[in-house]
Amino acid sequence: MIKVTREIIDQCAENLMFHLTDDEIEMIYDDFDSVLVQIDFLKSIKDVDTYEPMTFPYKEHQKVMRDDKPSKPLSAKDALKNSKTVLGTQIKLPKVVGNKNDTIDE
Amino acid sequence: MEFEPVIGVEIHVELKTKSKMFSSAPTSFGMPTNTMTVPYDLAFPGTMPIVNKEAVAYGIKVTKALNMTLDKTLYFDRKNYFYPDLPKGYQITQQFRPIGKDGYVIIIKDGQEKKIRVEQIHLEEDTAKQIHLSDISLIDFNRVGTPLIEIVSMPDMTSGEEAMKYVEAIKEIVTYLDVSDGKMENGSMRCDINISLKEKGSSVLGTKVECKNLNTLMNIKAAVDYEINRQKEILERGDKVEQETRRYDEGKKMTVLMRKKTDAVDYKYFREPNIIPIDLDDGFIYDAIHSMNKLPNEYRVELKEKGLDNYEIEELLKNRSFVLYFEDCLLLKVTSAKVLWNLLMVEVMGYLNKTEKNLEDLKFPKEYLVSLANLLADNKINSKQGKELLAKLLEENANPLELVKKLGLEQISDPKFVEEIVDRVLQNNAQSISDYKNGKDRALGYLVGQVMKESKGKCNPSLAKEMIQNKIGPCGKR
Repeated sequence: MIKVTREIIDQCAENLMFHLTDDEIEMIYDDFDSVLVQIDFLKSIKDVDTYEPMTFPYKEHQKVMRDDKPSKPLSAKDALKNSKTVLGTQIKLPKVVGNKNDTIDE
Repeated sequence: MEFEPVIGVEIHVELKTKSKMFSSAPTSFGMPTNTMTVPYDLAFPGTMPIVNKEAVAYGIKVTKALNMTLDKTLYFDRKNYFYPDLPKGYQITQQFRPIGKDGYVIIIKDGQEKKIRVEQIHLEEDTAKQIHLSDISLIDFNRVGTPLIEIVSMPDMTSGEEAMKYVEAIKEIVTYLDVSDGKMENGSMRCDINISLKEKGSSVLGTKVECKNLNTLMNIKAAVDYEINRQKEILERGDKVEQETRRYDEGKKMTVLMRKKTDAVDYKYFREPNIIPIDLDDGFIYDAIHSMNKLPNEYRVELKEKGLDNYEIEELLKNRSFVLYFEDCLLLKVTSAKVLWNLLMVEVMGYLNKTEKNLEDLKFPKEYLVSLANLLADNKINSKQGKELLAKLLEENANPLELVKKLGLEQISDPKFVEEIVDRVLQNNAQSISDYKNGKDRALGYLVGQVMKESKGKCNPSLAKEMIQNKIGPCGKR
C-alpha cells in the first residue's frame, strides 16, 4: 500500500498552487486512509487487464458527426458577461507566466 | 567524448475547417477578440461536444499522406489541466487511440533520401490565445476549439537541418492537401522540438530539452543547432543538462529558459465520456482518400518526366497556386515545359511581384500563355518579340497568336527564304567575311544582324547564324 504522508499532501498542494492549513492537511490525511483501503480492495480483483474500461453504459458506437457549417457566434459582450475582469474585449488576469516586463504570446 | 543529437518534433497543425472541432463556432483568423465563440467553447454547463465531420476527413487525408495506419473507430480522451487557456479544465484529444499511427515522411538531405518515422497523429482542439504583458495576462477565446492535428515524429533526426526539412515536408503536405494554410508566422503550424544528446553509439538517451516558439523554418534550424551546441558545452564541462522548456529568441539568436520541468506533469487522461466512439463509414473514408489533392512528391515525378530539372521543380513547388496553374497549362499541348516554366516563373512571377498582384488577378485564358510559350519554343518569334507579346498579354490580355498575325511578327524559318537573304547579305559584306576569317568573331553577329535587318526582323536568327557559319566556314585565328 502507498503510504500517504502529511509531507506528500503538502507537496501536492504546493504543486497545485493551493494553500492548505494544518487542519485541512489533517482532514485529507484521514480521508486518504479510507480511499487507500478501497484502492487495495480494487487491486485485489484479478485479471481486470483483459477487460476494456467501461466508459460508456452501452456497447454501441455511433456514426453521428456534425457538418462543417458555422453558426452565428456570441457577441464579445455576451461572451464576456460572466467575466469579472475585462480589458477592452479580452479577459484580464493576473500574469500567469514569464518575468515582469516580458511580453509573450501563447 | 563524442555526442549524438537525438531530435523529435511535435507539430500542431490548425485545420482549415469553417467551424470548430467540437462546436459550430466559426474559425476565422484575425477577427476582433472574443467574437468567435459559442457557449460550448466557453464551457457553459450543459453544452456538449459534437465532432466536426470535415476535420475528421482532413485527419484521414493526413493519415494517408503520411503513410499511416488509420484507426477506423474514433475515440477521444480528456487531457486534464488547470490553466486559463481552456475554460473546460481539459482539452479533448486522442491520447490512447490516435486516428493515425506508424507512418513516415521522406526528406532529402545531401541528395540522399532519409525516412523520418511518424509515430502518431491525433485530432484535438486548440486552446485560447493568451498575451502576457508586463503585469497582466489577456485572454482571447477566438482560437479555443479550433481543430488541430498533432503530428508526433519518432526521434529520428540528428541536426537542425534535418529537423527543418522534416517540418518543411509536413508543411508542404498539409498545404498541398489544403487541410491547413500552414502559415507558421500566423501560428497555424506550431512546432515543439525535443532535443537531447547521447554518447555516440550508446542506447541511453540524455535529458531532453523542449524548444518552443519556432515560427519560421530558419528558426528551427538555428534553434536546434544552437541547442545542440549549448548542451554539448554543458556535457563537456562535466555538468548535467537540466530538463526544461526553452524558447527561441530571434533577436538574441539563442534559446532562452521558459520554465524548468521538475516534475513530469500528470494530465490524468481518461476517455471523453461525452463522445460515444464513432465508427467511420467505409464510404466516408473512401471519399476522403479519393478527394485528396496531389502531393508534392507526385508532382516531383511528373514534372521531371516533363523535362524540368530539380531547381525548376523545387521553385515551382514552393507555391501550390503556381503548380496548379502550370499543371493546367501542361494539359494544353505545350512544346517545351522549360520554356513555359521560364515564362511563368520568371516573367509572369516578376510582373506579379512588381505589381503586387496574384495569379488569380490574371484575366487572360491559360491558352494565351501556352501559345506564347509555343511560339518561342518553336522559334516562330524571338525572345525580344516574346517579351513584347508578354507585356501586351499581361497588360491588355491580348491573344499572342492574333498579335503575331496582326503585327506581322511571325518569325520565318523556311530555309529557302532565309538562305536567299543570307546569300544576299554575304554578297554585300565581303569585308565582314574577311574580318571573321581573320579572327574577328564579332563579325558573325554583324552578319546575322544584317540578315535580320533585310528580313525586317522576321528571319529565324539561329537558322540564319547556322547558315552563315556553314557558308563562310570557321572563325579564323588572330
